[in-house]
Amino acid sequence: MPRIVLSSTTIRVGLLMDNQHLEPALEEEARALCAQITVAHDLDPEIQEELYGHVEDKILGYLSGEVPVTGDDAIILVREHFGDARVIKSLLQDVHVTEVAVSQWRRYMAATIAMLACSLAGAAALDAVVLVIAFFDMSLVLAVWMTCAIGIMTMLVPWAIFVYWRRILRAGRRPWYYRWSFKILGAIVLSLALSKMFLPFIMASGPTYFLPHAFPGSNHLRIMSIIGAQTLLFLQCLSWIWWCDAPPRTGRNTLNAAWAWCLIYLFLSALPRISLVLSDTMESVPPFERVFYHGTLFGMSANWTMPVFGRSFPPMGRFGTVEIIIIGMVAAFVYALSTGAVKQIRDGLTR
Amino acid sequence: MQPNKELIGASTRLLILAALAREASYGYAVIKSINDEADGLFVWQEGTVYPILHKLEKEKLVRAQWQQADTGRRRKYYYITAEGRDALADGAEQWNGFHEMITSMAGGPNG
Repeated sequence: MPRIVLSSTTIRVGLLMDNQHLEPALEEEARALCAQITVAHDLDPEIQEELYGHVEDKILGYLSGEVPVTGDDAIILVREHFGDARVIKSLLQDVHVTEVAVSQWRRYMAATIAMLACSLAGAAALDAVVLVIAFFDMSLVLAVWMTCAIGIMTMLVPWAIFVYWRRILRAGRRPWYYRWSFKILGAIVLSLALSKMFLPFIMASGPTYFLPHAFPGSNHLRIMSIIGAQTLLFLQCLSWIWWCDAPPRTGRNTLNAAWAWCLIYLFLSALPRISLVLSDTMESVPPFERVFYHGTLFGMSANWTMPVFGRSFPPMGRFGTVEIIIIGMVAAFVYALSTGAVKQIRDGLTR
Repeated sequence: MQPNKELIGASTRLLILAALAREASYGYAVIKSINDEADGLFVWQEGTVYPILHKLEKEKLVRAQWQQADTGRRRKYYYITAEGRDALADGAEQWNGFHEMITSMAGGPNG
């Protein structure tokens, strides 16, 4: 009878013939597998015997080459021989701790660039809308909706960018923010920030024009818009944390991501901006800031205010700062809960 | 193209009965013959076939008997019963009905 011996180093396989059986050690393994399947259901030994027959045939089929090994089978074998992926990952992370940290910084830089670019594009679009509405004397209601739509896009587009970047990373490609040096990334951040500073914040003042500082409508609408703005900020922070969530997922990393978002957001808000007021009456522009140009009256002033859906507040003031930090911390907590990070963090602490 | 799970699930009973109508066999050989016949169209999760075989046995559509296989090993052979053949004919007729209807609707003038 041909013998089939499975050891840690060699497998001797003979032709599949009648009365062929597994070696005792292999048979024991196969029976243990069948027991695992049947024990939970308290099934009778006859069923175990039947299942064992199947497993035996399959093993003998593999060893004799009668059953071809498919790609899926090969992956299972490789996984089994390679070891527990989670353990190996954790060991690799311990060795490459510096690279992991650098990768995290690159993610922050990339996310900052995405947020700045979207904010800049949003501001430019808002300017265009205000100009069009002011010069063509269009409806105030349209202006409100357009402003809301641009605000929402400015908040949500970074999320779409993060999803796209994650797909690239998952496909095994190295995106530009991994290839370019920190100096180049820093220069991009700086140039975008400067562009945002010098892009005028255009306001139109007059009986029918849209003045962003004076949000029209009832108190109810005003409250709804503030809640909407905070919800969007929360979602943006959540998407930022999700983007920055690279292994190892630890409490510190999740919290760092939230803090990074808070700091970047406050930094963007604190950038001084030039305000350009288009006005018929110039009632909201101090006399020394009034400028005539080709017969049109312009008012220019540099200010430190942050417009959020028509509401202004000093970004570095106590209320604005605390509000952003609260949103960041709540988002970090919600993210940790929803992804099981709390458990992972706890496991990490007890490991 | 991998057919969806519902389709595979719905056809499993009939395929087993059809395989056993050809010749009495045991679990491993039934699965192997059907996987070979499918030729990559689908691949059964082998372990899930045994509960179905046992259900068919309880419904008396098949009967089981331990005997020596061609390999010399003791295996539980399944034989299709008269009720099983009726169920197979019934099921095949229904399956064909659906098949014809879908083909006709999908390939019709508005399909």
